[in-house]
Amino acid sequence: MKKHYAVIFVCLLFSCSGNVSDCEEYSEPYYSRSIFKQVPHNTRISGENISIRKAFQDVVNSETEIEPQNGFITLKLHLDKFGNFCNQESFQIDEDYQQTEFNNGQLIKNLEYISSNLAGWMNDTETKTFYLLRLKIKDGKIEEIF
Amino acid sequence: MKKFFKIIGIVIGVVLVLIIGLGIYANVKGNKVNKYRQELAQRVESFKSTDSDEYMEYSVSINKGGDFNKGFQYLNKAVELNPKSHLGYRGWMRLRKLRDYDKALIDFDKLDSLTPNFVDAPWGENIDFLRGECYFGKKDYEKAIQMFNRNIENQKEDWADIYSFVYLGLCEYELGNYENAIKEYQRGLNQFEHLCEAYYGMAKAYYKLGNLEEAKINVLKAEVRIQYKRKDVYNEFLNEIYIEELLEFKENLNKHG
Repeated sequence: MKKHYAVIFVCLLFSCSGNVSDCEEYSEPYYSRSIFKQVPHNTRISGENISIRKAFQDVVNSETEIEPQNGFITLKLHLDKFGNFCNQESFQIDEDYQQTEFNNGQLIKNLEYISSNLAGWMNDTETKTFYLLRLKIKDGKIEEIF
Repeated sequence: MKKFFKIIGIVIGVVLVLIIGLGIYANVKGNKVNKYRQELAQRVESFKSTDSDEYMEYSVSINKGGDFNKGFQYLNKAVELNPKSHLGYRGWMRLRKLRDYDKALIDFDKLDSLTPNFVDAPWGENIDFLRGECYFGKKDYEKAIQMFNRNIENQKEDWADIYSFVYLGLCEYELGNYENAIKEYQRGLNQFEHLCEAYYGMAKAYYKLGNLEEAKINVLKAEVRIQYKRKDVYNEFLNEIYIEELLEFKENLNKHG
């Protein structure tokens, strides 16, 4: 009888561990470090920012009449511990840092399509992290991506 | 044998008591910290706090998370309450996180006016160096050169940020003064022999001058020193170089013979 209770107890113990998918884990900031070893996550993409700028080159060339003309876009990419894309958030602000929507929301759709398809992400700690991509809009064009 | 199990039992008992005790302590401490954080959040989010440092600290994680609209609301309040303490940081954030060169310059100039006869160092970086970067970002290379030279003059050649020389080289290059660019890069290399940005800059300048041999030599020197490049886990620097671009440049040079 005692053995049965022990087996039930062990089963209950393991059932409490839960089953969280890779994308449901909490996203550590890309700049932070792992808790115990204090190793930087070092989230990055193969080819670094050169690859990122190349990926956005077509939209940079085509979007030349952006309204409002000046502002900033931040894409917050959530990547699982293996570097696979999970989801993203976006922040669009004008030159006074007030919330806005460039081209009535159309620009962000184009940008998010590209960012969601970026491949080659990796990190050094097998941790789910987020990464920030920033775009600067100046005089109606995408002036910088960094 | 019985005594052995008795001792084991006592040891396990003591360890369990310690674990439970630590757990209770951690829980109480955690509750206190949570309560403090909740009260801080309430004070700051309602703008009832009169402590500029609280607004500045609260803005940090929000801005680092990419929500600059929200983060700057608190950072702006910090500057309003204590401009001398927080203008430099706000200017630095505008430059590094957003590349908002115009507004960064406004902040740096305002801070400088509040502290006459004192060379400020927003977030630990010389104010003239940062202003130089702003002008470089705006492509106002003449003004950038002025700022970087002022920085070197104030800090002295062997104490100034070595990237002042790299930026001077970059500015001269953009203005078409390739020989001057090489001289500036050489000044940087006199301070740090592994300054890979300087070697890459020299390679490009030599290429423009038609000296393919020197261009090849210098791009190779840059390539083997890439681990020394200027980089930061938070932000891409304006003058940051990448191995991919070095290799592409080297390949182009080889195609030219």
